[in-house]
Amino acid sequence: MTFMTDNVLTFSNVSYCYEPNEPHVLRDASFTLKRGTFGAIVGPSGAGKSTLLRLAIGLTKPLSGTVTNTARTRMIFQDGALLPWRTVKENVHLGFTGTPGTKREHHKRIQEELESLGLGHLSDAYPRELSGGQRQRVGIARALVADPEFLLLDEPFSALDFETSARLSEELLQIFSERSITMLMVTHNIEDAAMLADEIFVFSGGTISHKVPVHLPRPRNRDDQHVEHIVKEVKGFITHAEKV
Amino acid sequence: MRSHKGFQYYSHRGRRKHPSTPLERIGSHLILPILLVLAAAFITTHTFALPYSSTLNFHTVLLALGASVLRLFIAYILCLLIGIPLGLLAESDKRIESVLLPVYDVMESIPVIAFFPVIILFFVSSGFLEGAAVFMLFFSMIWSIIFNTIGGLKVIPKEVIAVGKVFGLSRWDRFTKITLPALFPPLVTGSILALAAGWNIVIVAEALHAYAPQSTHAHDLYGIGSVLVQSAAAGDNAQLFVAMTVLVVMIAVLNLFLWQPLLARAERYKFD
Repeated sequence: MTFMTDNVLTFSNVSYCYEPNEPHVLRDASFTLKRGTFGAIVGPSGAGKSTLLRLAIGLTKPLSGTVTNTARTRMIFQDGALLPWRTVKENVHLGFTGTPGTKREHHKRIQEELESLGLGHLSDAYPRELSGGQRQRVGIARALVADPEFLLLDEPFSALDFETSARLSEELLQIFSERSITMLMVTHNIEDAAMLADEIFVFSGGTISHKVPVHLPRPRNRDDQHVEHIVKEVKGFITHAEKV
Repeated sequence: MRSHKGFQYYSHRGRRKHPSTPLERIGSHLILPILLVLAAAFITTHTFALPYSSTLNFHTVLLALGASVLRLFIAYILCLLIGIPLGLLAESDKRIESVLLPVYDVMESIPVIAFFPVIILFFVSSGFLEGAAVFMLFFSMIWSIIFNTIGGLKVIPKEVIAVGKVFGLSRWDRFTKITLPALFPPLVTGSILALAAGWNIVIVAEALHAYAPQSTHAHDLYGIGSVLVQSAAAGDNAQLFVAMTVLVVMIAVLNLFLWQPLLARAERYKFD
């Protein structure tokens, strides 16, 4: 079926720099992400991985090359990126912008989404009163209420402790399998990528230097030797690219 | 355990919050400043007895205070209406910022009093003396609004700005739902600083006779500033003392009932 295999996101020879006359953070980057798959971009911190997501959602324009995104897209940010003056439900309501529906329908949908993420009792709380994991879940709820086809995740676990990030990664997988949302996650943690992704894009030297398919059934175990092998392989690619 | 939550004292300088009882607040807001006024009265009259005058008209002083407060708030509203857009303009583009920031810096440092005679002559020629005082207040107050707007815009996290765009908010919605609320804390601080600058200037801004050639006290604007200057000039210590006291009380009341609640509310709008 072509529907299941068409591409949601295509980067063709994309280059980008923050300011004119500054060195490129992205050089000739090319990759595609198939509909219904979970992709992960890994690379060292501060290398410009998040720029790929900003380009993917149209927040910035490439200097050269083309970015094609054919899906209704939402994004999950590091630490939730919530508005501190809005309650949890008011923050989630932002996700409805441009979405049809009555106020009552939106309200019901928000409550459902919050319940499913275990935040039903916190709908009137302010972000300041939440833990890091809860904030991130509110960010996820905000991204999900409008039923996106494609979800971009910018370092979603970086501000969380190990236990919380493990639990949240399970929840993400559940959302991924139940709702058939294509996902693209940026992370500096290769293990997280190996645990979740169908394909890992290695970002080093300002470009996608390697693509590593992960043909392992889910849920995966961090101690599984196949997962460990993939982590080792990706680490090797990054180290090699840094030496070059 | 008794919670001090309801009695926090918020300082606009930094993020300090001090627990305080209502009694402590009244003490720090009213009793201590009034003691200072008493000290001033003692220095003026060289006696511990409070100056008394049978001609003192308390209503006049109160009305004068009201006129000054009105003048200050007209200038303050103008500062908000003009200062916020000027701050937004400076932050809209790096090149615009590189041009406007030095202009704002220089303009802020210009002492408005140095220009006052010229301002007066301009407004006298158009017969609008009230405009001279409001303009002078505006010129001394607007900089805290502009610079606090610029500072506030700089601390909005990049990700929060991205949220508005990613979730498809219109430009106006991004301004009203993200930018303006994010500017609330720096604007409260900026407003406190602006009003403080305004109180300093209002005294001279109302005593117009000092700047316009061949003019008398009759040309002064009606307000607490002119009452202070005129009673000092006439040696009316009773009126001077009352005017100083009501001024202190007014400033304390504004702090207690306007700025304190706004500073407390601003805490909710701050990014971690």
